[in-house]
Amino acid sequence: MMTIQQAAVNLRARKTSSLELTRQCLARIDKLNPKLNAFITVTREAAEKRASEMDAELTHGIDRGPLHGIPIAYKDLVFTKGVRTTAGSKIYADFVPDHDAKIVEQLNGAGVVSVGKTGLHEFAYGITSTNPHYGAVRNPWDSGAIPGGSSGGSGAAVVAGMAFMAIGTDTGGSIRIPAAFCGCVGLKPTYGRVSKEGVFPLGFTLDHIGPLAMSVRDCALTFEAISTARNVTPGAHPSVKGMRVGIPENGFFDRAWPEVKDSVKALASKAQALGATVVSVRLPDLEQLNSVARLLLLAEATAAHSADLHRRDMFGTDVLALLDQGRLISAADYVNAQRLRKKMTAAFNAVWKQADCLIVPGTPTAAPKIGQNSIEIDGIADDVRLVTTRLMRGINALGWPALSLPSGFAHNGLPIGVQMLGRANGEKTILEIGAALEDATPELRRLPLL
Amino acid sequence: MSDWMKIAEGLNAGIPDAQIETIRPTLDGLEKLFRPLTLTLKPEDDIATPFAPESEG
Repeated sequence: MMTIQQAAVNLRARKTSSLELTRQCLARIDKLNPKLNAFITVTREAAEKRASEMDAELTHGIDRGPLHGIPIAYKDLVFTKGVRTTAGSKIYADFVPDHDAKIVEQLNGAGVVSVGKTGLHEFAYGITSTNPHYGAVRNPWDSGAIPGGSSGGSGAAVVAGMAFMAIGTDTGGSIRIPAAFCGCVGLKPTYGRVSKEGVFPLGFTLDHIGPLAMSVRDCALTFEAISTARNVTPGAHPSVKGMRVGIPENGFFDRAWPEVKDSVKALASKAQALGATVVSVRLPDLEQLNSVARLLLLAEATAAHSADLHRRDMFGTDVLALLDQGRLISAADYVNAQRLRKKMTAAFNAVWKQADCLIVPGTPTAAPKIGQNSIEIDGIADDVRLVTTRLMRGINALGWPALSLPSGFAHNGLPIGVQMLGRANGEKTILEIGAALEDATPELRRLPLL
Repeated sequence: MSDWMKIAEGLNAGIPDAQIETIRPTLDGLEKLFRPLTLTLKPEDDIATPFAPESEG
């Protein structure tokens, strides 16, 4: 599978066309969606028409930039004018927005071709993408495993070659988890840096929008198209010389599979070999931060869905249980959680005096099987949802940008990933080191046999 | 720990008792972590998301 950057070169050299790329993606969807269930809606005719228009523009010298003519997909939480947008919910099974989300407007302006809407956990409220209304999205590496979530269809679609990039959302890891479990790159930008306008909310103060793609640079190009950030896409020779890469002594390495921990250390060593300085840092208590983030999300998600809470039969069991928990959170506790969040953010931000970025594990394990409720680490079984979000959820409360990068494969052959964390608005730094590590480890970029 | 059953009744939340029993361990676990943190707050500690009167209407 080509990257966006490679496709963009080929488009301009007339070695391919947008219509050809789009038809390739549609052919992959035809072949693989019955197995993976990555898409809820495929917009075949609209995609082919749009691709032809983008080809005509290039022929006439109109070039909208690196995403011009590139086939992409949107998580089905993102409003698309005239195209059904279900949010993975039975309640919105027939909802057709009369306007596009802001990011859709931005990406349309950049010339993308949408091939459709990807599957997700119901209302983006979960990490499995095993959806009671639209079926389970499956992992391209093992169709018996989850792709992660909630942007599971976006991760599966990108890795399966059904789209060059897919937009996801991340409220407690929902871009980074599928990126890690499926083996692609995912960028959760700084909170507020990408518009949430026209995207179904889950956690009003925790929701982030961002891309999943097969390379760091492809995520960076997309980020530039959907934000005001400019010149953050790494060049051909990204440099980490002099960069201080922090590895936390506490919190992030306590409970994870050994191969996950080893892969972080291997990439840190690689960064050092490329000229970075690896420094050991201490962070405030991650579990405390997670408890604040969990409480915020419980209350905010229940608020977001309050109008439909009386329709209990319209929700899946797991989502309903979370919404019910949110109903029992007091207003005072919610406000105190926001107060604690502010204090904790200041305490966590102190780490940026010692480091320019942090490298930490992403998910502590590889993808669990569909229907698996607990997973073992160091011989102790724990809840899949809590384990999978443990190293990610708190980052949403801090609002820091986070890049999920493939870091190898677990003992069971499934992908694992690391996170590069940066200070607020520090995407350029984590994209630069992400690209440098990606370039230096081509052996980690493998695709599943599909 | 909070009595989640009584809280649900007080709110007239319409959550079945069996569901309360199902979610009780998760809520208890969260409360055990969260409650002590609130004791560290001082009156002057503000919230993380202040109201912005200049926001577009």
